[in-house]
Amino acid sequence: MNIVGKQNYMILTDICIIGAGPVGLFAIFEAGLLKMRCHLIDYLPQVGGQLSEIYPKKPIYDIPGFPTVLAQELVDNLMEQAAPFHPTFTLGERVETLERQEDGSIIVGGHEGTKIHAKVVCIAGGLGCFEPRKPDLSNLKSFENNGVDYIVKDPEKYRGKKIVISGGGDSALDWAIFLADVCDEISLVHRGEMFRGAPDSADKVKALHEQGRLTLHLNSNVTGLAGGDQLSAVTITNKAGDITDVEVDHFLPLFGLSPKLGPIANWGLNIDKNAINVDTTDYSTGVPGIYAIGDINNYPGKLKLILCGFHEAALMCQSAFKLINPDAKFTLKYTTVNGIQSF
Amino acid sequence: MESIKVFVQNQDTSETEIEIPLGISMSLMEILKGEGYPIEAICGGMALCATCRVEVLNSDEVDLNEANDSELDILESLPYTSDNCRLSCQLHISENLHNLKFKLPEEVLA
Repeated sequence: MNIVGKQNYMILTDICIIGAGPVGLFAIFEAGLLKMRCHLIDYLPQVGGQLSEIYPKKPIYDIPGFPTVLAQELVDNLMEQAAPFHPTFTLGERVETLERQEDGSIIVGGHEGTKIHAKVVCIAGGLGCFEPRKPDLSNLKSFENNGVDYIVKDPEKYRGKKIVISGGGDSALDWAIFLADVCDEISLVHRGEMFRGAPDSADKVKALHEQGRLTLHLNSNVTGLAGGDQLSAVTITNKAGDITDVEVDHFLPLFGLSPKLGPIANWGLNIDKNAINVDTTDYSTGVPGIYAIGDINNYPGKLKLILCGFHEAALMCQSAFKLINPDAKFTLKYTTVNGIQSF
Repeated sequence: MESIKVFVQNQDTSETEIEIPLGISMSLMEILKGEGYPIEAICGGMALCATCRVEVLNSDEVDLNEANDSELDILESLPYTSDNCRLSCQLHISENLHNLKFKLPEEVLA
């Protein structure tokens, strides 16, 4: 996979696809058949959208030609299908801005500074950006990046520090196990009586607790944060009402991710009920050069199905081709006749 | 009994009554979406995303089916659920749901 981004140079492409879920990935293939290059940008750290993030091991039964296929297998197959067209990717970055240029092209700006200069933009953003679920703590925001982190980007940041992790899912367990060897002190707070996720991880956490390398707070929640500019303590309350204050350098609420429409709402598109209204002729948004396909769009009769998104991707690419190549004559070609002309 | 009634507590605390025929193979999540409530239910009913979560207001008056492990797994891994939260995709339409009162937490409304 060609991963680029978080750089100071401009990425040039024919189509910038916002969202690397199944529909965005299939759009690479359809664009490639028409000799258009694609760059994809997604806020998640991996491709596949909700298939990889939420249900990678679930079978899907309504992909034509596949009586059953696991969600992650479908993503892997789509990546293989797109490979001849050498797509490039910026992952882990949320698109913040779309800037129209004088020639009609668009510069897509990511939240970490990546710039993608595209002739056409295709929004395949599914349900929006997957954002961390946040606990309901009144002063949480004031400690964000001042002791509160929702994602572990560099474990070394926590070396020799005192941390509290909150959450009961795989992410919380896996990081608690990993960081027990890195941190000076570590506590894991879980609102449940037990961990129902991966039994191996739960056993390891219990063993670390028994060895005194990790403090486990079950039936408990983090109910308060304290500090000046920097977080210095968290309050943990159990179901019996007992309160414990713990000194910390960092608090990591790891409660998984939840989709939010995010900055898409600010791009001047015709949005209704968290979806972009499109023209079903070509899935254009009404804003020249910007298309929307897959779960993010809406039109009369819309079905939020992957197979419908594939159809939308094909029609979008035909229209984008005409926009990018106004003087070229378009002829529909079949892969059975012409094969895949990679580039 | 040919149908049941459930009551959704709105944000202004008024209640909306929904009458649901029995004998349909649907979940409460599907009924709510059909009624136009803007819940995302992004995983479609697999108990994986918790975006169809409801807070049951009269758990002592109704006899709901017990949450299974996969439902408890996701509910317990959320930061903001109370003990009365359920995934509406895991509440299948049956007589047990008759007179159920619940509200949709603000964070699940799209």
